[in-house]
Amino acid sequence: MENTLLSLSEEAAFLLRALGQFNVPVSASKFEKCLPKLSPVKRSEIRPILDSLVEQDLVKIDRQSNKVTYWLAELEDRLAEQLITLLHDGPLAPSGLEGKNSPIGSLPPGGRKSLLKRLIKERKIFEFPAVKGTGNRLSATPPEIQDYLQVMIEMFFAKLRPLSVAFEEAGVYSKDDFYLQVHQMWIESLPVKISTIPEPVKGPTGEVAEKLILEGMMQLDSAAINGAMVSLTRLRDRLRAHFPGKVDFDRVILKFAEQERISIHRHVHVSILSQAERDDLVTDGRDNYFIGISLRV
Amino acid sequence: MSIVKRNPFRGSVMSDPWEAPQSNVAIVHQKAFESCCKAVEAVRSSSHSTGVLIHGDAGSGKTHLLARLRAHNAREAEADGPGGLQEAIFISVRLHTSPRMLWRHLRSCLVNDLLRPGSNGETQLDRILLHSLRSHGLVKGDGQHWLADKRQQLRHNQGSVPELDDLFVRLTARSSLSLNLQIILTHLFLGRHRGSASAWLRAENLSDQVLERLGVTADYDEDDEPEVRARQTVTALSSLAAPALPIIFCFDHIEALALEFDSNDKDSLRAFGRMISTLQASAAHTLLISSIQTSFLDTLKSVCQADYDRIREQGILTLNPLTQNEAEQLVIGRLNAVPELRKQKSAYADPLWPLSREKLEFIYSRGIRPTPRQLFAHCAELYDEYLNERLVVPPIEDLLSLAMEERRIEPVDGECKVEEVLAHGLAPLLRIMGSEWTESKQQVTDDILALLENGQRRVAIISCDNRPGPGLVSKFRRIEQLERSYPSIEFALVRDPRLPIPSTAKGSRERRQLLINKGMKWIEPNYEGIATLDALRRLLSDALSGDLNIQGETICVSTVEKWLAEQLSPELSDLVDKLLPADSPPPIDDLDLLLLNESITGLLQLHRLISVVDVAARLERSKSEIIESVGRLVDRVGVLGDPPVVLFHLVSEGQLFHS
Repeated sequence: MENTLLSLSEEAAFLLRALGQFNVPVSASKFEKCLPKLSPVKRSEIRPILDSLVEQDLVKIDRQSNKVTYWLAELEDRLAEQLITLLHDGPLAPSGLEGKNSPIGSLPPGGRKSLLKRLIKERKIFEFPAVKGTGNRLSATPPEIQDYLQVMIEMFFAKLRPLSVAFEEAGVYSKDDFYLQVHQMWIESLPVKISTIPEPVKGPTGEVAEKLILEGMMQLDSAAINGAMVSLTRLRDRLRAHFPGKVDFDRVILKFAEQERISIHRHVHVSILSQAERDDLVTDGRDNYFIGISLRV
Repeated sequence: MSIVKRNPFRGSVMSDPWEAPQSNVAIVHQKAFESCCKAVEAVRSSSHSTGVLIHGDAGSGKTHLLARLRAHNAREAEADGPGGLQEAIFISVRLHTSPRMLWRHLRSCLVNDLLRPGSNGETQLDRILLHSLRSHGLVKGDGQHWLADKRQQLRHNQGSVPELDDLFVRLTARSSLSLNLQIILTHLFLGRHRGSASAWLRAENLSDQVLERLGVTADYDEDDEPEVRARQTVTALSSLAAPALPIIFCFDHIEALALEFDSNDKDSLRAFGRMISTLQASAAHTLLISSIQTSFLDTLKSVCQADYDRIREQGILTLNPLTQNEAEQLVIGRLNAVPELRKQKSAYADPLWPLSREKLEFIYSRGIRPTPRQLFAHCAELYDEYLNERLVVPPIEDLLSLAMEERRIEPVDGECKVEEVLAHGLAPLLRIMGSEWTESKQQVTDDILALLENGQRRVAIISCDNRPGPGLVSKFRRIEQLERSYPSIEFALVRDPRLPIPSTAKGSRERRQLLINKGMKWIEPNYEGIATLDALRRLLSDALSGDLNIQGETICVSTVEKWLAEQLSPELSDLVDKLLPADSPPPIDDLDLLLLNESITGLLQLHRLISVVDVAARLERSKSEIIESVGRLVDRVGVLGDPPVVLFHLVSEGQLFHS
């Protein structure tokens, strides 16, 4: 801000300092009245200078019919922080932020709306459907999916339970077999393929991981730079210090392959391999086992 | 506007590089293609042979790449104008054979492709000989016109071509073109005795009359084993290559050499490595392209390091799965390859019509990148949706059953060679049957097709398909020597039942009797058994090579083995029972029966249809003896009447056994 102020005209800096005297948004007419008589800014220049400060995002504005309101961007940031702190305590309906007790209650409705929109876009707060009741809720943390599914799943299982008992009594399916099939059907019915619950990757990711992989490939075979394939088993061994877990290494390789800078090659006769040999390959958890990696050139 | 009903994405497996590629999209595998072209240039510009190794996933387009290279060379030749020289001779070798018969298989493929007629009827052999004549300054001007004149003059007499004789003299300085081979090449060049001459090149059994007509001497060299003779023919023919007209050998499906894939069989691939080194050393202007599935690349590294270095001398080329852009271009290329569809597409802005990018993205949403085969399988389904049709995918068992039957009734090149079938198929059959017998990797002699062992006993299966006469007698002598050198080995002698030893071949019969008296088994396997075993080993080879798929997904070889184990036909069990030693020796009167059977089969091969009375009279046997004997020949002798009155030569289903 200091650097910005230095580049401003004396008049603009004066108006910013004046606006900083207000802890709440102020209407244009009130702001003009509050300025000292010996102000360096002529009355006719106040609005154009404020509008130029709005363009520079130093000042915020709200226009409602004949009423124009100004406040400092710095003030809005402070209010946003107070709002986020409040929303960390629990979700609130947007209407609950309109009153005087709300940190952003002093903002005009248009200002409140645009601030919320910005914070949602920046993923500082989240808006999602209410778990109970109607309408949306705002919160500083992402919603817990369990909160939504718990009731539905309980209802679903309430319907399944008599069926499983009936099957068990008839000697058709044991409870275990019944629920195993339910699980199988459930997995297959999902609109996306689910293999394992992803865990956060341990070890390097992103560009660091890519660099390590490429270096490892070159160390194993200098011709890799020209597209020669390198065994993933050997690469895993080479990079074990960086990727101690199998899953982490596999996931980094699969992610890298999706970007199409490298190719990974499938073993199509996996069943002729021993379990130990399979474990050394990279897998995506969908019965695809990868034997080698090559740079696309 | 009518909908184009033919789905352009069906039938995407290319199993032979001689097939014309349906469409070529330059960006797909472009680097690999350019590297192959550079390797051809390297052979042209240097005076030595070299090798390139290609690997990729099943369905990645290895065979397509080879077809593209072949088509490219053919186009270059056409660019030279009518009569222009082909830029390279192309030989395709699918390695669906036993490592014990590698050279014999290569010879067969080499001869087939050298004699393959081009669009103008000219064979590759014609081209290479004509090119040599011109490059040595022996023929000037329009070579084809000169050849047509020579053919006109010499087609119906045995005269030689002085220019060709001169060429052979010059070539013999650096290669070993035997006199017999020179005569055969002259016949083929002049279009004389094409059938017999090509059969001679393939080392098929020919009668003395045919050999006499060809003007070649019978080759009874006892010291040379069959593989050695095959190698000599291959290296001699390869020496015809020249810098401006190199020979490109494409070895595809290398993995099929090792049907013993689950026992870490390295010997099969080592034999391949040795063959590549020998070829490189013996012929100066050949490019040896080896193609293998990525899954087996590590196994190939088990060959001797020097051999592996030669296999990949010009580089290892990786065929990557498709990027999204490559996939789109490939789909557009395939759609545009159908003229009616291309015409309809012009009315739409989307080049992927009737498909769309959104629909293609599904295959990418799964993370892994597809091979062309997987992509086409997916597109085939999408095209079916557009047609409002739904292809019912048969259960895998039905698909395998159909594939097996196709292979059973349609042998490769219209003929199935008993010795190749046994050498390649016996070991996997025993494994599938769960037999205690396995194949030993001990290399005793090329005469042995398979050496089987069960911990206590060892049995050598030996083919005795030689022409009756001195060749067969010398083979029997070699077996006698083997028996003396390896007393612990038992012997099962196998002869193609289409080749009965006639009563006139007394020496052969006597020598055989000696061997049988020593306790050796004489086996004439059942037609159906051999045909089924041939189908089995080819089905396994295709599975191992990744050519069996269901909706683009490769059917794993272990799935095929499991299915085969459940479907094992009685013919195969009979075949194994015949080959493996029984607990008790065969009854002595079997030999008499064998001689009678052979005599009846021989008569029917000559007369095709003959009355029982005539057979009895010719063979000086009673009618009842003939009828009893025929009862055991149901696979090769047909009968009319009850009791049988007339006998006829029985031909099995398909074109399996050409007599």
